[in-house]
Amino acid sequence: MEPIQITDLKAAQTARDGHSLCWSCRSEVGEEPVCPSCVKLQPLGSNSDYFSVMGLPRKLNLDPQVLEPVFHALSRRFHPDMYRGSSPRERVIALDNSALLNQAYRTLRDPFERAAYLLQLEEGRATGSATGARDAPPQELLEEILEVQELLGDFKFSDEEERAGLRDQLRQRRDHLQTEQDARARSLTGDLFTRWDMLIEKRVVPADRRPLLDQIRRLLGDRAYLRRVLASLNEALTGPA
Amino acid sequence: MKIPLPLAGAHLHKEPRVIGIDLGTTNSLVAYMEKGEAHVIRDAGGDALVPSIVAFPPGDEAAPMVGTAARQLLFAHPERTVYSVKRLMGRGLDDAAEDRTRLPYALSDEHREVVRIRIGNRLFTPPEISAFILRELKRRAEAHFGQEVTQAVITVPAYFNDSQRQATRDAGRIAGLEVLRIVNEPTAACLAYGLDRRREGTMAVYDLGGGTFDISILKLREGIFEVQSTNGDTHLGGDDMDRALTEVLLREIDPLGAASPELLERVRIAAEQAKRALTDADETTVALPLGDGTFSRLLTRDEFESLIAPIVERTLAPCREAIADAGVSTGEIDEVVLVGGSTRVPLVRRKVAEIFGKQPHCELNPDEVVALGAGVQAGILSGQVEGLLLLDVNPLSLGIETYGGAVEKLIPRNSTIPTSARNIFTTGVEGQTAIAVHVIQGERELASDNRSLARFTIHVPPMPAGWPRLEVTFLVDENGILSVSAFEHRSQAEASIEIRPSYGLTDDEVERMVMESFEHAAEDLRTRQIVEARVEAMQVFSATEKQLPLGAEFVTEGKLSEAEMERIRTAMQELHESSQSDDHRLIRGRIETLDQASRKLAALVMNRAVQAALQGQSLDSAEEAIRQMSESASLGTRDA
Repeated sequence: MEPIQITDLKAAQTARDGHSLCWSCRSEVGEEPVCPSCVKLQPLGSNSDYFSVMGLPRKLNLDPQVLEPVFHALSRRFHPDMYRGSSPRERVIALDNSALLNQAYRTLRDPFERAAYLLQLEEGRATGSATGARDAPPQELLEEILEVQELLGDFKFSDEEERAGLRDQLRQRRDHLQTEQDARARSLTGDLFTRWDMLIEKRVVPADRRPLLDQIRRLLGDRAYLRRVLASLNEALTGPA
Repeated sequence: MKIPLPLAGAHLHKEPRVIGIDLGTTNSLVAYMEKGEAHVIRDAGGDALVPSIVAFPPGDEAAPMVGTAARQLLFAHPERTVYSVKRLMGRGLDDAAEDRTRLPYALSDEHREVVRIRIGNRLFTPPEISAFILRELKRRAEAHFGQEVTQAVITVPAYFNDSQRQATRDAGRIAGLEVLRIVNEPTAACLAYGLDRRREGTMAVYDLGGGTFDISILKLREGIFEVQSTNGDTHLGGDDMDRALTEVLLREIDPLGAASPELLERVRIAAEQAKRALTDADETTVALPLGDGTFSRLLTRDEFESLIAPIVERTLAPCREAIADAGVSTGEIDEVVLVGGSTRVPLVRRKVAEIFGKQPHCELNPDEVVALGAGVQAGILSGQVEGLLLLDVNPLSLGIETYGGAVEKLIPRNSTIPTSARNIFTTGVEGQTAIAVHVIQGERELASDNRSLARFTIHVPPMPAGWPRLEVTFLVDENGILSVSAFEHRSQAEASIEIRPSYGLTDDEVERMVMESFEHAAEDLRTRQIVEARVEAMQVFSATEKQLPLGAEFVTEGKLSEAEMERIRTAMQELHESSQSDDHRLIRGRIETLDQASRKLAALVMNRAVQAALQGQSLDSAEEAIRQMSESASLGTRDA
């Protein structure tokens, strides 16, 4: 029987409560990664978000030069190689914590993945922006994109002589769309990221964060859409004739 | 007799030893950490390389021989001599189709999912064959330390998929080794270099071995070795160069294509020797004695290079992809390290310098560097090495098959491991009690174009359609090996999972092989003792035979009596008569007798050689004599 998948990730973030008592000696551990009394490694818990795993506030401007040393320090704490002689239970915890840490680092070090993850976190569901499966084309570029798709269709069904001329046109469109793409990236990681971080610093309530999140979502969606168009353009230009 | 010396303080604390093993396509090695340095373990003759060859002497009861001893059977019984078994690890019969036509040993037609090698009436899986090699390395380490060894780190090509890694771990288990860690070969090499120099920066490791090619980009910072990306080809290496040259030679030797397996094997070995010769020489002559004369052929390095250029060229695309995936430019790569015997080929070195725009490093022996790195990782795991940590990646994307045979990627390639992904499934039919999940590995869009890893059947309690919330977690551990667990949220219960590996052995099968290997151990040991005694008898006999003409001279000169010569001849005759006996003690006894009888002759030969050397006369023949002397001396005192 074929599996049916649910894209609702909130269901996946299910109720496995975060720890507060040490699994080994039952003393209070709070949010400490290692039990203060018996020095046993504590599970991060499957509900920990990537920002809190790395001990960071939920901000979007993140310097890779800051992130890397944090990742390395936490790797030393969690990696299974460090628990080779420990109890099986502790080794399983190390494995799970380490896996979660690696996912967190992979997501947070890329600004677009980071923004997509934040949206998911704030809204408690998958937005589709990260995969781009359901994105619509950017409205202001709709006309140009339709023309590009027509050109690509022509290109596909033309002989080598006609292609030479089409290539020039394709190249022009590619360069223009790439400029548009770069501008969107700058706007997202510059202006929008900074505005978001200010909302967090001012402790603005979630309802008032929504308009900005909508803008971030739109830009991420545009980006994913443009990326696919650019990929087909580049493929036509560099791929086998 | 050679007795392993107890290590300083070994009697005080016999800490369990963890060894590092490079289980190679062509050669295997074992290494360990001692006082902050990695060392490979060598045999009495100073050899660290154990040829990855397992030979089964005729007779279905005969125990296999491993390494150099096994190589001697390659000519006489190619169909009973298994080499390059690494190419078959974790592979099905269809995958092996190409290799199959070139290998002198037979594969069973009946076993499609895990290939079986047919030796007479016996069948062996690739992990079982590899286990023979691992057992030999384990034995070597145990003799070296004077204590039992049960834990190991084993290296695999970075581009090995899950099935190939599982197969390697299974081989360890069958050999009686707990595999603490599977480490990628280029990463291990980087560890060996990094430990050596306390380097920082970005390093590329170009690893071209006998059968596989790997490229890895790593970042080294304050003792953390973080792999950024890896790429490669599990079917590209020095064997391909040998094959290209073999085909050229065969066309000339045997234009009708009627060569016997034995001749094929000899041409292959001649081709490999020519390749080695051309590392330093500009030209070499391939000489092969044939039935009616000698085949002789001049081969220039230019000709060889044009022959192998397409093979070397195939390493370019993986290098480019790895650099792109690491998110660095070629200029940002600080150092390039060469690993694997095939990087000795001058064309390969030039190509690497061209790709990376800098001269590659090759200070550490490319044959030993991976084993040394495995030794370092063994030291990290046993707590001997502090402050170093390896963060490796999974080489291939992991996904599941969705509707219409498409792939949903769950874990992208080059993700740091351990890592995990979760997915929620439900049922489509009323009362459905099982959900099937097909896990695949690879980069292609369609499931059928990728590697099938396993099919999981997950059991859920009967519920209305769409009601179950089955959370499936895919966890890739630090060895790059996948495990799957499932939790059903409506019933709040762990769901049971049935796993059917697509190309692997089930746990039960491995368990059975472990048991069998114990059952055969005593019998195998006895047979091996006989075979080894026979081989040694042959070697001692022929070494003494070579000294007989000199003996006659000594008799004329009055330095040796005729009676003493007669004793030697008698001892030789007796040894010869016993050499086919099944009693290894008898053979050993006669080796000892001959050793005693020929002692004076041996000393005289040695003296003469030394004198000749001192007088500067006929240095070549003196050296030859010394070489022979030391050969027979070491043979006579080999440990049993």
